[in-house]
Amino acid sequence: MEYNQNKIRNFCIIAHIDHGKSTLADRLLEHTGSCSSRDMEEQLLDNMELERERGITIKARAVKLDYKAKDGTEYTYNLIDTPGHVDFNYEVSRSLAACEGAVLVVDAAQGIEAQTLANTYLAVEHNLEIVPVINKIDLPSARPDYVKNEIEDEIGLPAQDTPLISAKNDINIDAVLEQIKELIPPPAGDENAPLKALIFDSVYDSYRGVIVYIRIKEGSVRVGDRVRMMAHGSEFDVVEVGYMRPLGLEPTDVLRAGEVGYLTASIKNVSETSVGDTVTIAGNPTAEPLPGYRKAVPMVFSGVYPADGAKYPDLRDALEKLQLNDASLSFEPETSVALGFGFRCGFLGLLHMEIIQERLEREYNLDLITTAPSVIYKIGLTNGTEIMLDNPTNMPPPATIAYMEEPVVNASIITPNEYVGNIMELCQERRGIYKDMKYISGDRAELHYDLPLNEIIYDFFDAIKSRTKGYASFDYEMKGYMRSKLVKLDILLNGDMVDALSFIVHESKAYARARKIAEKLKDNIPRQLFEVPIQAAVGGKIIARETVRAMRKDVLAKCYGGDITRKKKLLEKQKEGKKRMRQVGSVAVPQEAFMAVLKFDE
Amino acid sequence: MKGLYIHIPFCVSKCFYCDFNSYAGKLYLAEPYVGAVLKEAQRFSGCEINTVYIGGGTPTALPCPEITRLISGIKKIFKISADAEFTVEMNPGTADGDYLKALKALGVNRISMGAQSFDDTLLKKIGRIHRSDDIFTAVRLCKEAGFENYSLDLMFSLPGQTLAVWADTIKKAVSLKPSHISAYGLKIEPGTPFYERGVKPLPDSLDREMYHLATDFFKSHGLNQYEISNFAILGKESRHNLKYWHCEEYIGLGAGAHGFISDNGKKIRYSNIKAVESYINKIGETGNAVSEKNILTENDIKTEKIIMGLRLTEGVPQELIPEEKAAFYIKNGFMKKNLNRVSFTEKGFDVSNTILSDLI
Repeated sequence: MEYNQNKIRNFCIIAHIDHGKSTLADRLLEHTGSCSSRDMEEQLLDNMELERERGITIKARAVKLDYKAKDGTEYTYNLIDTPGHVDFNYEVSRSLAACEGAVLVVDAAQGIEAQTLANTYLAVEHNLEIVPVINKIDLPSARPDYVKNEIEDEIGLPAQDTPLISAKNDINIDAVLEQIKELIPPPAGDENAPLKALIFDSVYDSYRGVIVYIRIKEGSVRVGDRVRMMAHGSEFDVVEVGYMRPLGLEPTDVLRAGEVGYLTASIKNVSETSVGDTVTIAGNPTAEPLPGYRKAVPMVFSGVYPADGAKYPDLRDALEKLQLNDASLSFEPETSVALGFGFRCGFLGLLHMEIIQERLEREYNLDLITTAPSVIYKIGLTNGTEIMLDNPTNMPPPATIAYMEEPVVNASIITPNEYVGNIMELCQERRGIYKDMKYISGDRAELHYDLPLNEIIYDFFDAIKSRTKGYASFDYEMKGYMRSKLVKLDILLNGDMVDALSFIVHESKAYARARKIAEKLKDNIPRQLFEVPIQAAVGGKIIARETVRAMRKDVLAKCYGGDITRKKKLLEKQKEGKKRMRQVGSVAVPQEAFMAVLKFDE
Repeated sequence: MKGLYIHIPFCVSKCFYCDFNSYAGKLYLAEPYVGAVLKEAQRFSGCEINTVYIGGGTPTALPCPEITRLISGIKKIFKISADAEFTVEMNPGTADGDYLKALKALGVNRISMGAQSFDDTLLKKIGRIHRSDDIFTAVRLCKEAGFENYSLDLMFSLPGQTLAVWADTIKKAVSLKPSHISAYGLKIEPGTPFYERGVKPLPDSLDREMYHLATDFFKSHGLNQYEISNFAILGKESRHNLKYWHCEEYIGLGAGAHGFISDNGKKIRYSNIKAVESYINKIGETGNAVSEKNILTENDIKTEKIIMGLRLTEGVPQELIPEEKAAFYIKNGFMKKNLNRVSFTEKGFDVSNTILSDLI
């Protein structure tokens, strides 16, 4: 199809989890004849296994569709998928920046949810045109009129013409396609200006190197051009440009202003193609890069160790491979007395950490032990120097510390009014400092708190969800550092300190947490031949204690009629089980014990 | 000289804790079954044997003519030494004077009786067909038939069992002057009625209390512990079972039977098809019903010597156990050393699986 900027529509889909984003995306693909349902792997856009299982989108994906409108005109639709979690908020905002519009999917039965609202506001902030659609219209509990009112009241959009659809049962999908054409403006941008393209995603491909997903804002890019990543400063010769099609990449000669596509340039590492960076032509650069570039900075650190020490090289290989695709993941080798050789890894947030761990375990078949996540503390020493600390094990002796500072975030929580009390209580428990609260609609409030990062990295997101029945949404950005009374909590098993279990905690919380951890360890350390005292200590002072009592009985009374093989197998299995535990001094500690201390709020 | 184990997979009814290879209501197969066992035995024809053990199931559930045919048959097929130990397991509920006399006449010289408990409530609860009185009767009949060497099997840690009930059981058992007692702690195995009903095991502390009460009591009555669950007056240890623990060879015949034999210098553990009908058919077709066969590696042999040998109070030669591990367990009271042998202490027996899994 001839390039014609006026016939392009770039959009994303916004929906609450489960409200049918992926299903709608599938239908749009089908109805534009981009692929038949038979050759379409279900929910094509979410093509990572993990994403599909969790029902969330981790990395943005994009696809180009050909749409023949009812009036017979042919259009190019670029559907850009967005991640759906606060850890990836920045990626969401870059995806939105690549679009002119957003299809807002609202569940006909459940109406607008907090998360949808937050993302809708984000889209409005990016000046996107919103196309509301009401999905699951065929459910017996569907209330389309009520939901239409909600859309008008809470978002302020006219809703009379809102398509009533069922993505699942393929009802009225064509209306959505028409609305996209009608409501979303075509891109603007001078095709003849110097190149200005936004990177909104990149993936590593072992044949082509990094495939950079771009939205051309101005100018054009073709094979052979020498391009520069403006923030990163690196330059490459373009090897291939093209479009993302449902069933693979489609090379072309040139990408022009308004188009969405990819380029490859024998780039070895995704870290050179950061999301948000601006691509321009090296010899004819654009005057200003696009606004809003932000380097992905790890905020949460954790030690990652192979459960089986011999798998250390495998873990390194796996992390290297993941990093090719995920520039926000950082890692460097570290050693623990309890856990042996492993890596200190940096993550964007706790979900990011969980995702990386799960991918390591699933895709690389590794069994992992991770240590309690930590943030980066600032420590002023008595000798006048300042150090940054991301591993509690390396905390200097208390006598040499003049002061400590911890990172603080600006947190914003949007919640239905009825849960405001719960949220306030939670934030207070987490040492939050109340800033303000405003009512954003008849029954919703937005609260702002300053919260210490180390209070939210463990399970804050889950805690919010559980205290608001899943209705609240949460977002945060780094604010800075704040002086704080922090102490290092150490755990001793049978008198030996377990470095991997140490963590830094606010003084006021040390006792409670020490008790909790001692209890959890007691529940998770199996009985051994000896009694095992569990102690929690701050600066050498024991503040909590539990005991794992000695094993009373582990004996096989009888060997059945000479069936020695059965007994042998049983003992060999037992031996295998023990191998999976870590020997800390004289105590065998199972993997679960290390993991259990990560979860406080249960 | 090898041992010979013959499995009789028939029972009058299945006990609630039992996951042995035995079936109720299949005695109509007794005749073809005995025929099959004798045919299987032909594979080992002429082999020298010095212990025979007919176990089950319930061997005494076989009609007298069938067990007679079985024993006469194997005496012809094997070279059974004159001083062989010849044991038949018996359920006290099936005891019969003439039957016992017939066994005696056939050369059986040891009876192993599944007494399990002397508490009628418990016997009923665990699905036994006999009652406490039957045990006394059965022992009297054994003696009348001329058996001086008889063993009683007992069970502890039974659901609802108290320490007092157990104390009474071991007292009554000892009063019957057996030459040997086996005392097994109940283990609730998957697939058993107890397991299906979700029966919970007694607390470990009570289990151990029962166990130690028994070991002390038996010892004070001249029944010395020689294995984790076995006690005997001096010289009356089960020679057949010692073959298992000493990793010596034995032939296993019958459905689900296990054997341990040498073939061309290789040590082989094998087991037979479990289902009675399939066993009979397979033997009929080929004379052989082995379903699983493991050729032991050097490492397997060593592992087995450790895990079986350490079940005995005599222990194992010290060179089998790494020196520093032995030293560690001795220092902490789990093991002891006597001459050049290492063995478990009482405290060590209690947690022997944990230690064995560390030693292999």
